[in-house]
Amino acid sequence: MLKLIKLELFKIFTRPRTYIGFGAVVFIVIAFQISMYFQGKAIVSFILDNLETTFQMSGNIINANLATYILLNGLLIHIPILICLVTGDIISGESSSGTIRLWLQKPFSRSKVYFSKVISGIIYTLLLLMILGLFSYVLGYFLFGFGDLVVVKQGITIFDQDDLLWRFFYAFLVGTISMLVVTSLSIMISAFATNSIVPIVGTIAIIIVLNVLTVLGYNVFEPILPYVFTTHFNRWQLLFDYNLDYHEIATTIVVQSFYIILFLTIGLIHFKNKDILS
Amino acid sequence: MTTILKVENLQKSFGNFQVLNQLSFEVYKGDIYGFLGPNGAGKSTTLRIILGLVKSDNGKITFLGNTISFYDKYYLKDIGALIERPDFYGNLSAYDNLWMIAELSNLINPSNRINEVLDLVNLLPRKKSKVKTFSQGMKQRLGIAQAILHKPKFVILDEPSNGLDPQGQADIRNIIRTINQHDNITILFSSHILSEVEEICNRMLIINNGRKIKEGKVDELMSEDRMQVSIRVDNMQKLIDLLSSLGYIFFVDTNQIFTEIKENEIPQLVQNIVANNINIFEVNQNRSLENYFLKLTKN
Repeated sequence: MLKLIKLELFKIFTRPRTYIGFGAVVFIVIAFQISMYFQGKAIVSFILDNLETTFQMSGNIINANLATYILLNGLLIHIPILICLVTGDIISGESSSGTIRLWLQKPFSRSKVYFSKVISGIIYTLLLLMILGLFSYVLGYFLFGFGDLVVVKQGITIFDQDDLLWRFFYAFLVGTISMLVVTSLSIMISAFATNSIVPIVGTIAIIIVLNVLTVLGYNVFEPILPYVFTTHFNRWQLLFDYNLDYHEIATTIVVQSFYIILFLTIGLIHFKNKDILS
Repeated sequence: MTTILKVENLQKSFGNFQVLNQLSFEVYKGDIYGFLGPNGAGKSTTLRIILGLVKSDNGKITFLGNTISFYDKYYLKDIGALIERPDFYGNLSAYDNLWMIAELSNLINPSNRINEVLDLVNLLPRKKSKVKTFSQGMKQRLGIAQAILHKPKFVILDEPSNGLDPQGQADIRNIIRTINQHDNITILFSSHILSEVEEICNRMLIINNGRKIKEGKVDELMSEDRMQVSIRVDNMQKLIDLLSSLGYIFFVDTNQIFTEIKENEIPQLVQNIVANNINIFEVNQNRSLENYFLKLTKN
């Protein structure tokens, strides 16, 4: 199994497509933070919803913490696209090119082949998020330094710099679980598809449709929204409530974990039994 | 003769279309076993079922004495395969592609073996080149290299000469002969280039519409059939008289005579011609497996 994972990672990291994701994350972080550097006041005004006209803000509001917090919002649409570029292709790409036969005619069970691909997809996702988090934090530090974080949700919450590192850590963990739902959804579709386009476009389409339904059809779909996985994509923000709602955080983790297991199981059952005709 | 692969009553349908219908055959150790059939006859499906790529609806496959199962892939350690077209990772070199397969096959110190098989298929000088720069023939040879890399006991080659020029086809035939004789590997060889099967296989199976039409030794199957023989001699009239007296049906072209005859009757005919003081310049047998194959599959 370890050998299969090693070879899967070898394949992933020898493909140019993989570095598009990493490059895009680095570009997004740089572009955002440079614009923040030059247009900081306008951005702060937008984020604080013009509250600075009511309150007097002093100190270093534009800092690495704020930059990272804002960039975490990319977890909703942008990062899933970058994840799908690699994970959506992980089985279907090999089915369409025929290289899947090279693996399935070796003495390894299909379950092992499948899970080696799943684990490699998870590692890629984790790396992408680590680069997003660390690069944003480090670049933000060099450009702006550290400082307190002002969060506007139902009200304004100001977090002390010393109270932030653990919140970011756990926020990234919750966000990572959300992105692993995307990873497993794209791998599941990839197990069914025979070309790379369907899983990539399919996963993004599902996420967009569910997000639109969540926003536009809130009244109609309200009872089921807590069980829709996209509803939980911004729940990492729960870590930025002054008093943490542990029940909500646990619910988010359980619902998303359920979807991860569901998607991976459906993908596995299909992959184990499908006829390889490519 | 030791049976290495035994297929019994194999059945497979895709939807309502029955691809294989009670197909049975046996491959013996040391065989180069030809697997013939027109397009859509079920050859590739059969090979994919043997390799665990496709699930059969019914039937039994025994490999090296053990019944194989779709979910148990352990038997594949003794099998190498090249199915239809050779697919590799184009952005990797020939060496890296084989290195991955060597890792999958648990080869210890794979470098030597990789160089050995690349040398066998004449790709050693290009081992660092990316596969996407390879011609079709080079990919086919690399496909054979990956199939034999882990020194399997049994190799399945599905139309390995597909799309190759005559020189490429000859190269592939030489490689197949070498690995069969030198490495003692049994080969199941599917091809639509029938002359190839006739040239290199010792036993063969002909299938059509998923059913077995004929199975046996190539030379025995061939001797069952009448072939066309062309004869060029110094005295055409004497030969015409001789063939008429012996009861042969024949026709005369400008400077040669064509007649239909069984293969094992050729020596006797030649002796008769010589005994009648007719000098033979040329005797050609024009019957080929193509005719035989077409006749069987048409029926």
